[in-house]
Amino acid sequence: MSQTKYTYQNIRATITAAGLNSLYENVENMTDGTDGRIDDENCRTEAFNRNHFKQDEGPNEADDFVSVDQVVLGYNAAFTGVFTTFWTWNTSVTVGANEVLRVQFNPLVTLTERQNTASVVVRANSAFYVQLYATVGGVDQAICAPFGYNSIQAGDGNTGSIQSKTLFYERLPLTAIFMPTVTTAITAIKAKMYFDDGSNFRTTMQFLYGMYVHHKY
Amino acid sequence: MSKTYAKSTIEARDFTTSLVYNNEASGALAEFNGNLGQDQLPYEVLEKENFVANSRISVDSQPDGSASNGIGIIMPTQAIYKAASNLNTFTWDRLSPSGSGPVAVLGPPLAAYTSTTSAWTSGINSLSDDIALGTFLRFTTKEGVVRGTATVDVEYFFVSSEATGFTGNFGAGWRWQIYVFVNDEMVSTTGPQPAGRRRTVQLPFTIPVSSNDAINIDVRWSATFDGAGLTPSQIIQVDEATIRFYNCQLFARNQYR
Repeated sequence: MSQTKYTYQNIRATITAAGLNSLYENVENMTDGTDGRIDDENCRTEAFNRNHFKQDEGPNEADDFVSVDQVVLGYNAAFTGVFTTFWTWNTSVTVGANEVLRVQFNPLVTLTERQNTASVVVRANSAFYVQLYATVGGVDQAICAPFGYNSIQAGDGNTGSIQSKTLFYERLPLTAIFMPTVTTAITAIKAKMYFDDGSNFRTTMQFLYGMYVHHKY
Repeated sequence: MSKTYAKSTIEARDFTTSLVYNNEASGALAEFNGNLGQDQLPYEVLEKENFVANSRISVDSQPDGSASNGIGIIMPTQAIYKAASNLNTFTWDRLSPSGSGPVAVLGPPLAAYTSTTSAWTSGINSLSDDIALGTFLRFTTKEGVVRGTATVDVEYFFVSSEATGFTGNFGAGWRWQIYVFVNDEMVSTTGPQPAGRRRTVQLPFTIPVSSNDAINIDVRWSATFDGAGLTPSQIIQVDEATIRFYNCQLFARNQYR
């Protein structure tokens, strides 16, 4: 923990401006990073710590990242049955053995849509799934299970002919807890989406926000 | 003249004490350095045994202790525990046997309760009764705070997937609700949620804890299916109310005081 003190004035010494200010200079040094900087090396970690705000302008994007670009997936058979990356956050974090990386992802779904929903099979395939990945050694590995959402939210859950039966401006928060057994260097954190039926369903998202907290001590 | 002690500003020709000059600086120092009393001091952190490398332990993931597949990472100032299911096969034919499948989707569900079977008991039920991992944690706590989040992928429809042509109005009756209980006290809930959809919910919770040999964190559910308010009223193909649970994840972080 940062500490400061001031020294006693020596007997018969002349008080100088520098001496009088030393206490406050020490306090400044202890808090602005000159000497005893408070950072993620010497304070406990939690959702928001000083590290998140240490940039002069805006948040520290090394630890959190928001993308406001609109992302549209679906109405294309290529999305069916595969996990498609729709959010990539290039970062650099090394998680040691028996350390924990908590990733929080909170996309805003502005709209889901569907077409050709008359078929029973199509209607039974109205779900989409979101899963978080970490890129390790160039390979994407899942850091949580796939979690599901339905593109349609009304009635029997499978029919519908009006637009209001889809998702509309809704956050889909998701958490991943990564607990590696060996030191793991992560170069990117990704979110991927899987459609049961990518041909007949579509999801539109904005304001994809994610952050991580690295628990070490 | 008797001696005079004063903390106020010394007036001309009055007596002074050495304390006066240090008062303000002392206050600033005390505030910056922290007037640490027993209320602020870490309770158990500054022990020799805590200055060791992080360790990994197994913790109970079922209430009866029959499974210990939860993971705990023990650190000097905190511990993080996690239990999570990992249903990741998209091979479930959900229309079978009466449908026109096969339709391979994520599944089968880790648990499904239908109003027409005895599996659905009234009241608030523990998901850990039927889901092996991701719905229960038991671990030792140190005095401080436990915070965490339960994640549940839940789906509640009231007609079979073969039915067509309905528009649903769930009125006041068709609701589901997820809860987080710590030592049998509810600390977080979704509130009643309307049926007719599938979604993944997150339930954050935070509680102060003392040093305990064990606390139980349990994720539970309830649902109602009285059918009131359905339109159109001539719906006759309502054959069941089925609530299905897919992947579940539960983590908790014990920050020591």
